[in-house]
Amino acid sequence: MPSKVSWFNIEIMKQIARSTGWISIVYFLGLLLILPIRLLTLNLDDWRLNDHNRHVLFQQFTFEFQLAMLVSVPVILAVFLFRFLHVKQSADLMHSLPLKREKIFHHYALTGMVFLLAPVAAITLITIVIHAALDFDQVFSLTDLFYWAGTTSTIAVLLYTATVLIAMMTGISVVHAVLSYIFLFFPFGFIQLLFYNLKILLYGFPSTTYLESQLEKISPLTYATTLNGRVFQWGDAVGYLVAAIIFYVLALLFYQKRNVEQASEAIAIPKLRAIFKYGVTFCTMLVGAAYFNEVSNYSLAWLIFGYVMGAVFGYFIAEMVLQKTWRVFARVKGLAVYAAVVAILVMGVKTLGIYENKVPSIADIQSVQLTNGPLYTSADGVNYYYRMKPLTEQANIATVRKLHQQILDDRNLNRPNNEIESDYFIRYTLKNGRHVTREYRINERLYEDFFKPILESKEYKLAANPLFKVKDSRIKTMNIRANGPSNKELVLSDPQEIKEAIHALREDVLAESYADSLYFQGRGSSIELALEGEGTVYAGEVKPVYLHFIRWLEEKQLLERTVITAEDISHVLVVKGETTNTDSVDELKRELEGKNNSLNIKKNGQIKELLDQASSSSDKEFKAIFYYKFGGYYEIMSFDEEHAPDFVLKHF
Amino acid sequence: MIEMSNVSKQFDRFQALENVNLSIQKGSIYGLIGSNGAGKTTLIKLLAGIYRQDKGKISIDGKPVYENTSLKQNIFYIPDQPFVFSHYTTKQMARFYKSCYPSWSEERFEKLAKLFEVNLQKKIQTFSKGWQRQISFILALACNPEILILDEPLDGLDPVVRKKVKNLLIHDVAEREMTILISSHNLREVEDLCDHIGIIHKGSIIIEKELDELKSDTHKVQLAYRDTVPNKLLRSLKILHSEKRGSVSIFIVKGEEDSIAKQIRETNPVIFDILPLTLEEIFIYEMGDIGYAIKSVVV
Repeated sequence: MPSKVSWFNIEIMKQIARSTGWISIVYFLGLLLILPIRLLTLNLDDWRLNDHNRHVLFQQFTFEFQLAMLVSVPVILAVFLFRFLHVKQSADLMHSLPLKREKIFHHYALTGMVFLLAPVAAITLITIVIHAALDFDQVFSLTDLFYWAGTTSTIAVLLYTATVLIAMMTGISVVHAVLSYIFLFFPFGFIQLLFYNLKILLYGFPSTTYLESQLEKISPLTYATTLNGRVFQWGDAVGYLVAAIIFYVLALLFYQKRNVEQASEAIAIPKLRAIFKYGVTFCTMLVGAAYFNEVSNYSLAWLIFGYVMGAVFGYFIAEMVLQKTWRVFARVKGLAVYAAVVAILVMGVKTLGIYENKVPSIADIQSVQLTNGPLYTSADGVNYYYRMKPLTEQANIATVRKLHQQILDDRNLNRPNNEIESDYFIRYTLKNGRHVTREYRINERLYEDFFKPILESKEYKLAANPLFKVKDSRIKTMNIRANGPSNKELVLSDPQEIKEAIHALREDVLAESYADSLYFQGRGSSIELALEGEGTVYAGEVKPVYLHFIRWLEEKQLLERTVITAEDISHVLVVKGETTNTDSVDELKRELEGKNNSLNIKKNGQIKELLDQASSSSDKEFKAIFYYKFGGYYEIMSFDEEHAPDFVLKHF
Repeated sequence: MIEMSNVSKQFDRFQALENVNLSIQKGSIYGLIGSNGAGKTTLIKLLAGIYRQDKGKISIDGKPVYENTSLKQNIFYIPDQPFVFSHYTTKQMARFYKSCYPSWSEERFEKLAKLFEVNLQKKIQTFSKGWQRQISFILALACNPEILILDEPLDGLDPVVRKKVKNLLIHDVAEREMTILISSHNLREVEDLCDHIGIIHKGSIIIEKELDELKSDTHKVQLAYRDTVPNKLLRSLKILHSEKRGSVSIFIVKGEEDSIAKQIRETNPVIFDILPLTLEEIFIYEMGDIGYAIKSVVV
């Protein structure tokens, strides 16, 4: 009489255990060495609990090995588990049995998941025991341990279910493993590539803006690499688990649709073959373009070569994988169609220029941001203070628009290579609530006329400078640290003093001209504000033109303790003329010292005058070597004719 | 009763089966004959519920086979190359089948194992090819399937084992009315086993016959007359094939033996013999031109 066949088939699970159990055991042993055994070797006296983190179990316990296992074990396990689908004979056997695919799938996928998570659970239990027995409280808490187990399990489950899904798409185990990693890395890698290429293709495309926005989270592989420095958030964990469930259900649906005869086909679902082929072609095309664009230093000819080579390469590689032979060079029809479509698209976008030439009309603009700082980083913590607020004054909006238009008009201008360029973002917020964001690499000096009115405006200063966004009451201390070898550092902590200092500083910043801000940048003592519970904000530097602030320091008799003064300098050597050497400061010094007709200043008053007029760059007309009194330390600065003191002009 | 009607199956661009119609009565042994690549294995895997057809219907007792667990519990499929999980012993494999087939009989398994003298604790993959095939027969028969599907089952067996297996199969058919579908590239190999034969060629079944009917229905006749063969006789007999060797004419004639003999005697031939016909000859003559094209299969 027929015996009852239960839904739960222990023999299938035994079979799975026999074929893939070893992976589980290896994972367990690996984790055992990394965590519990490592814990036993710890000498608690050496363990300094300085910065206790939630992710201490990732950070302090050979993260590299943990990471290697975390990203490989789930994939290897799923590849071996579903190998029965990829070997013709075993696929025939499994599907000739009176078992529904649904049942086979759940048995394999869930048993596999148990084998994946069991080592983590076992290690967690062992570690709990060790923790209790040997008192490891100063190293980690049980919450840290559960955080470790939960994070490891979540990422492992996502990698595993993704690989299970890919198992249904292919018929070759090696292709299965490779495709799985591509699939897992794809969201991150593809967006990077796409944005990089859009930047090449579309003048002004703000790729860095997008790339700033924590892109590594969207791929579990790249996220896993950051686990030793960042806490896995609840929101991300929920997202990953939802994705895992979706992958699981999709895998089942694809399995039910899948034909058994697709074992040993590279791509098991015929409709996916075209997507695979042109997807690979597209991606390698982007890689080719990015590569040749970088190595050829942005030459257009090499860029086109990169596109063509990448596409041809990818197309034939994909064909080879699909046809399982390397003799595929006669099948060029698809490539020709692909090339034609891409060419028409690119030509269309370039000639119409809708994206590149768009400058919103002034009537549509609500506000605008112009910044070379961050635009999209999360606004938490100190980032809030660095992020520029939008400008709404009509004059500023109009000037930014004009600047934008000028940058577009200058697009094809030859630029001098030897000057510093920086990336500027322009972001309009339109009245209809939409944004237009552009990023340009420009030489600021060429657009001085535009930058001057904007950067000198009070609105801009209030919107961009952290100094004006910090609330006085939040400031814990104000630190002023001088450059050079003097170790001069002052920490103000009296609220009243801080208030006065900030007030003076704000007055100076508001009065500062654009020219001065450039000329004196990068040489004064730095000012940092330590905020209550938020971290430290950089609030600029002490420039010679900050008269209010300097007067305040003088009144408080703090100037000597905070900035480099003539007292610190033994003498100054002033030299006029061009120099040839810009690579090494030491050689520049030697060259300057060797010049004739130099002026050696030793008088305190004159040294002070020089200190107040020098710019930190060394490319102005008059070079000056400032020799410190101690340690043989020196600094090379320069000044132009306008800033040169009379005694210098008289000498030369 | 197994039925296939208008079944087609395509692999990418290759049409493996086209409009196949086939029916197998319960309790019969059906031989599926065809050359390599004719579509035998595809047809068998469709019947075993491994493949899914693109078109047409495949049913057993009126119900579709694909993903039908209760039907498949009564079907056992042995592939052309027996396959077992790696490192599995016969005992472990038996336990696995037992968990899948409710009709599994432990008693039968032990009896068969004893009969074939199989070491149950030895890993199956370490056995020779012939032994592995015997083990798959033991496992199959222990499942007591109603339908046994065999792809080229007798390849690689020595004559003694071949005989043993054949006897077992016939025994089960007689005892339990088991239905067997057996494929082969050689008619002679299975003619003593099968009661029905279907010949598959380039993805289509070109002939399907009951053997007893065939043998009693086709005859080879040698005739000689003083002058020519009478036209009247040529018209009245259903002649499949004729040839002349000297003054002797050879005819392959369809019909009842007695009636043929009677008609011929009436024409007073000088020589008249009715000769036995081998199965392969029958098929070749039945199929006409195609018969010669696939002669290698039938022989």
